[in-house]
Amino acid sequence: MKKIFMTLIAISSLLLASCTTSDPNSLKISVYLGGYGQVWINTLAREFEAENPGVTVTIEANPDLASDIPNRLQNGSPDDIFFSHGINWEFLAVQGYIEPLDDLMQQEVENGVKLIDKIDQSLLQTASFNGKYYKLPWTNGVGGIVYNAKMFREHGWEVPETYEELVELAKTIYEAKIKVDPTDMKPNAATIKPFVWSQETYYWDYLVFDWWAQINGTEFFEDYVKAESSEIFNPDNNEGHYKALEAWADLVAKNPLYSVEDSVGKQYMAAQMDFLNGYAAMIPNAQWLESEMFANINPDIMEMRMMPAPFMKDAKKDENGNPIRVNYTVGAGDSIIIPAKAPNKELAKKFLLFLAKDSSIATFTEKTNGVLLAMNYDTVDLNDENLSEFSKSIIEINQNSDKFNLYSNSLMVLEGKVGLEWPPQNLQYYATLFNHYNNRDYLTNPEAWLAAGNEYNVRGIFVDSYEHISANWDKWQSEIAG
Amino acid sequence: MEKGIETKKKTPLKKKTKQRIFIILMLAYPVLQFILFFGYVNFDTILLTFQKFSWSEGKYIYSGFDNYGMFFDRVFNDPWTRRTIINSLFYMPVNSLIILPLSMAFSYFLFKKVPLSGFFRVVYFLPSILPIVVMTMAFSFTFDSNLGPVNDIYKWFFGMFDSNVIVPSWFGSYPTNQIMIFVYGIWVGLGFNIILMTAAIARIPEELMEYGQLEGIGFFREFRTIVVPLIWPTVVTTFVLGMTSVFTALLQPLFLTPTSPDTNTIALAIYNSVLQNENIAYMATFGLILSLIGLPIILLTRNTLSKFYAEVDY
Repeated sequence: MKKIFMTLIAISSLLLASCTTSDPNSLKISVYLGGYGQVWINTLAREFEAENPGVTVTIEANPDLASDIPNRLQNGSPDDIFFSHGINWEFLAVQGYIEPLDDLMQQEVENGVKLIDKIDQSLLQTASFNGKYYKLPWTNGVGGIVYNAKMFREHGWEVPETYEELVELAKTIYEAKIKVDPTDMKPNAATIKPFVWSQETYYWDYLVFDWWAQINGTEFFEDYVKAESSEIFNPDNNEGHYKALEAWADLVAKNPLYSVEDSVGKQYMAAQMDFLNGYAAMIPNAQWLESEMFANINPDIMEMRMMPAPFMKDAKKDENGNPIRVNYTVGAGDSIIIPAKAPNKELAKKFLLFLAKDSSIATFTEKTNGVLLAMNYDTVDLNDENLSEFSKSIIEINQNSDKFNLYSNSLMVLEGKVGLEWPPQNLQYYATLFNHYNNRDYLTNPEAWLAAGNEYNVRGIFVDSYEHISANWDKWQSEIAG
Repeated sequence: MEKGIETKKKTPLKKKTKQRIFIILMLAYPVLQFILFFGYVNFDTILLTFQKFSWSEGKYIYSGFDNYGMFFDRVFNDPWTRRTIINSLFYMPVNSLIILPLSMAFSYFLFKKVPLSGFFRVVYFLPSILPIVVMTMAFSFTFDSNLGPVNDIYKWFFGMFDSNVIVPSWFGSYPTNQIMIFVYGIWVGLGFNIILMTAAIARIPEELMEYGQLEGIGFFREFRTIVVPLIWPTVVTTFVLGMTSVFTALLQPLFLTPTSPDTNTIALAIYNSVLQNENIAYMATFGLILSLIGLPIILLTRNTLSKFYAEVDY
């Protein structure tokens, strides 16, 4: 009995020892497993091993990683690098759980280019807090309206370049009453609608925020994200925000029949299936749609493309007099971090420098089917043969737009007192507006219903919000412990 | 030499000592678990309610009653906090006043072996053994405009009276989405309660039922005068469990209306806060105050209900 007991203690000690000591040539990378898959990290890991003989890289691709990261950072774990969305990294960084990367930022990646210069400059501000860099931004996403190019071609519809053309296109699609299933002879057979969307209404943000930036200009957001005063929410100083939402309301909310029935209540997967099955010509979505739905795409009915945000009439003009092309960076909060307790921090940093090389950036994009790393692509040679047409349309938008994001490290934002995306947080803008107009009286006689004073005052939402924020600003600031 | 051998000889433990060791070991686990997961966690939570996170110091610092002040400020001034609390409160009547009586009635029908009772037993029970992710998806897809049949049936039926019929947005507008969550809760919740009730009814001595039948009491009187009083302790327990759902309702709104703050609940608000490491100290206060308000109400209800029928051993 005593022997068995001693043996068990010995085995436990060995196991414990194996958990706490680390091999200097072993690197563990943990990756959030979502729409990007894991082929990219497996490929990069093998390439890193080939470049560094003797080094072994192990990968954990985990769909539930995000919620586990705080525990792993606080208690220590074998992880050397995390790639994930949803890391509340500022909160963890000030507690000392994340390795600062200031030294790494100044190191050379290749050809004399430092890491800090290799990172997409529009996302650099999303990586620092209290004057220190704690993360690398992970991806540089594109969102907006995804359309079915095959359907467009077959019916002679053109990709709209302006908001007015988009409105006209939606009307044309709706009025064409083309059956989804031409063999369906029922009188109420489903017809192709301009849009399908889901309860995840924030997918509309990717289009609406582009319109907002077109009107205000991307430089507006440099001060806006600092959130230093309630004045940034004053609609008089920020007309792009409410005008963009008004434009959306005019196009979508005031035309409930332009959307597949009950879009506002659909699960996002059901909405995406509707799009793939030809119930709608367009869907608000982002770069991950093709990868996410890859197994369900029928090339006979679907050729997916992303369209650049159509230009608003009020859009600012560039030096040539053309309206500015902008791109709201989807997923600007996604992060690459090294835990302060990582067993092999130096090797982890070496991997991040390797990741910033042109060849690695190309590998990432090619293996994720077009997802862009938050790096500078000027010198990257992408192999087009490995990219789908959808990916090419995304890269085209990303590379030819002035990028902006709404990341803020203001304590007012981090503490949840105000939201920069939608100041009156919790109000379901799109759903509220859509449901307001989706009623029997409006649908049967819209002119009379609107004449009766039922029009939703979109600007009023922002005025109320500004007044509420102004009245509470000082109180909210005092609630933050600094 | 002999003396040495004697000292090495094992003294057999007395039976009573062995029993004591056994009892101590058996009790040690639950007691330790209680100290760690109830005592420590709750003590730590209470401490947290008097703290705030300092971004400059990178740690929680003492903040007096600030979190408590913030709670009452939000209850009075923030409509979303009020809605969260009100949504949660509605889980109580749904569980205790709708699901519970329904499951009592269905259990009794199943017990009386009405036709197809075996089939219905499976129908009621199936939702409670399948994963909630699957069940919520199946439920919401049933009401989807293209994937499910409900919208077509709705349009066909109401279309007979109104040619401009509009199908409600089941999960996209308030309060319909909140009602749909309750409908889902009733569908899935029945199965679990029916198991408890059927087990309780099955324990009722057969002689009592036979006696009632000899006396000529009918179906409903038997239910009212024999079944209900004898399963009352189970009913009270289930009622109280239904009341606690005010604090535990989480997964139904999370899966059915994932991004809607309209259908937020106390547990979901705390869950989201912990998940995002945001305002944890405030949310600890939020949970603590509501628990302090809810606990005496639940205990009072339990004591009051327990007095309705005298407990009978059988």
